[in-house]
Amino acid sequence: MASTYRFTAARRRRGAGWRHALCAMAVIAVVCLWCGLSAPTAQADEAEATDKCVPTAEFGCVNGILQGSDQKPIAGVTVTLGGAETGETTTGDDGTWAFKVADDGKYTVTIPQDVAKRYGFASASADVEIVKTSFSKQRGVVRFDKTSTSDAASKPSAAASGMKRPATTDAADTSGKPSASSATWTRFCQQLYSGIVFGLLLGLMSVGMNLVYGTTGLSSFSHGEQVTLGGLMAYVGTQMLHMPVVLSAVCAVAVGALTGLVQDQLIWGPLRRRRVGTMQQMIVTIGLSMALQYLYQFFFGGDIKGIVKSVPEGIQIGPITTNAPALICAGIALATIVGVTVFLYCTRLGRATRAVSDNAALAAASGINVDSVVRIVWTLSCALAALSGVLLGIYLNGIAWNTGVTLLMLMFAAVTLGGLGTANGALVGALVIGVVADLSTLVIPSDMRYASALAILILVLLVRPQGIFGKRNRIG
Amino acid sequence: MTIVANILGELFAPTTAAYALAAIGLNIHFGMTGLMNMGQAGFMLLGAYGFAITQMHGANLFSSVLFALLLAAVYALLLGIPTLKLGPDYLAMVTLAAAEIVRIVGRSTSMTNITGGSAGIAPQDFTTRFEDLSPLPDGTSTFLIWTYNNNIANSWWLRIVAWVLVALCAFLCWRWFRSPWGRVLKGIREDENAIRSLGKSVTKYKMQALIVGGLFGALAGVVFVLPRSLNPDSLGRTVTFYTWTILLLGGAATIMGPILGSCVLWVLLTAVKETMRVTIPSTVISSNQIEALGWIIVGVALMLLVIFRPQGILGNKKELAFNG
Repeated sequence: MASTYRFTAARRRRGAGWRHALCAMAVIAVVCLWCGLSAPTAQADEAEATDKCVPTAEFGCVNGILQGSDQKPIAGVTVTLGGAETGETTTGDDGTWAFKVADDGKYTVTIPQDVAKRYGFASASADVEIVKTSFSKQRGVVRFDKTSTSDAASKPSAAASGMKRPATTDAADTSGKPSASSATWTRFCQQLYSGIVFGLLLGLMSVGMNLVYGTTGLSSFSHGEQVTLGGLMAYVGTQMLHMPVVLSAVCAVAVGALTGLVQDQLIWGPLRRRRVGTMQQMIVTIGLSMALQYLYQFFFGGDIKGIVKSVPEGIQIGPITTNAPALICAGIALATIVGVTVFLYCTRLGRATRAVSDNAALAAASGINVDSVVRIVWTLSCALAALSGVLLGIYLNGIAWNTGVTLLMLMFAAVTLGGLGTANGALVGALVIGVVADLSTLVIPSDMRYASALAILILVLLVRPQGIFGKRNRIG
Repeated sequence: MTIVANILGELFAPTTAAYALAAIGLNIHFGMTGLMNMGQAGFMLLGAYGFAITQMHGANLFSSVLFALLLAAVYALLLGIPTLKLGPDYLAMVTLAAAEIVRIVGRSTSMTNITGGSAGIAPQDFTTRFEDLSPLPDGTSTFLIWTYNNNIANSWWLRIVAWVLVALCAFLCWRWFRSPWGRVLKGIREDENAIRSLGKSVTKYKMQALIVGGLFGALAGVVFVLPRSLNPDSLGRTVTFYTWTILLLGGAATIMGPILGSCVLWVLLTAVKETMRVTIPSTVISSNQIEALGWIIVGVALMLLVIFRPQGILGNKKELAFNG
């Protein structure tokens, strides 16, 4: 279950604009710029990078699967083509890459030196010859791993470069030296920005979970699946039913809300009436989470589903590179969270919700229908989760069957950090988690960034167990 | 015939034993003390790493196992200090988060030279000393309908060791459940404040339970990785949830519950999957989908169990550890 890994892969795989905004590493820009500049001086045509390549009379193929000596695909690595034509592409989740070339001749395929070293490949580049008319030479398959024979051979080199930062950081050391401090600053801004956007989306997910906890005392482990559901429904809308994005999003949220309502009617309502304890209910949500997750996998398969296929234009705001969809997603998330807060504090129903949160028995005694409030909270919570799933799917450019469950831990962390059951705690907690996770990549490897967010959770519990906004008496 | 052998083989497979051990540990946490440990996989992974890494560097078996146990004990201490004074939700979330941290750090590429990164540690790097210890001759043996290798990987030798361990742990549990210590733990499960008013330090007892259960978890981790390679992703959250299902299926707060639960779950699950593989053509449902179906069944079973028979197969409804 390479879920966190998949995320990074999904982020890196996009075109230039996406990569800037999502991967948020300004150094890549330097590398890309360099490649872009070098192309015209080489006086060569541009080879077309494709997902799959089938040789024809006009085109030959240079392709391959980048995998380590352990047969595991390596995603998100930049593959550069040189020779009669030039081009650049990034390996997919399954490690595949391909170029379509129009000219016969010799080609050189290169991957970053440090990637080759890390996986113990004998060489970072390989030569192939393409002859379109020849049956055996119209396709050149390059495998970097075939030169390394065994595990043992790769180990010393892996150990030698094992402690290195990810590829992009090394690139900065060589190409970004003149402006090292400004590059760090740019990277800091970019990470801060992506942390805030991610934090807002995480906040939107966690608000619903926190509302449910507040009113029923239940930590819902199946909340992540509600997020996934939103994203997958949006995928069904845009890619299978060919509806516009906004309409699909609305439908996804409606489906999400409906599942919340149905769940409360079928499962949680009866369980409350039978006075089943919250700990027991929590284990029921674990079961539900497992069942739903694999139900998604059963129907949608294990790959990442893109909601929107087009690659958006990059926008430069000061030191930050972003794009319109990311900004819109963050805006919608923020607006929705503000809306929920207004609902909680300024409407009758919202006040009733907070009353139930505070003391359900007392609320019932003062004439509030606790059951209907809880029903509304479940519906709202699942609708918010679905919305955040749609936004997340657009922001990360894809959603997979396990996207929600990957983020579940972070949602819990956000909710606990902000204070279990408090109204605004989830948002503040989520922003802290998002920013900490993304900023921590400045000092620790990026595949450990979620660990740092969870570590913050444990540290906060040590000093302030009730969370930022929690009441002291809640924790005993 | 091979299918029947496969299915019934699960009854005493090393993995079944590993899950039984993990569930015995969880039983001390949850069944005896009422602690919601949602990160048993973290103890297992840490134990497995402790064992495999010291083995890789040439330590002897005994000290490797000792190191694995030590790691788990320290980990339990670290988890327990901030959370045991707080409500049950907090322990649940922190154990879950900590298990994830262990996994994320373990699989990180920057740890490749210590933990092997996401590829993990190959079996030949840490199982040889265990296999050399075997008194059995080389080759394979057949007992009734089952044929396994004597010493290598998924072997008879591993089966014997694993189930002796399970029996030993179950015996220890049986002793502890009846000891004064066990009675205090049960008291904490039923009513913390009552025990506190008797002058017992509740947090201290909870910590002891957390450590002891964690030690069993670490042992389970070692047994879990011995027949395969150590891959951090194979000891993720899902393993914790399996362990919970096993414990609740067999019956929490019973001695034989975890063992029975593990055997029943794996035999049934394998039976369902194998039958589907044979009867349903792969054009209708692919093997990946059958794998997913197995999970769906476990999830639904867990839900139904908790709702309709929270005491499990062997449990006593009066001795339920759910308080809340």
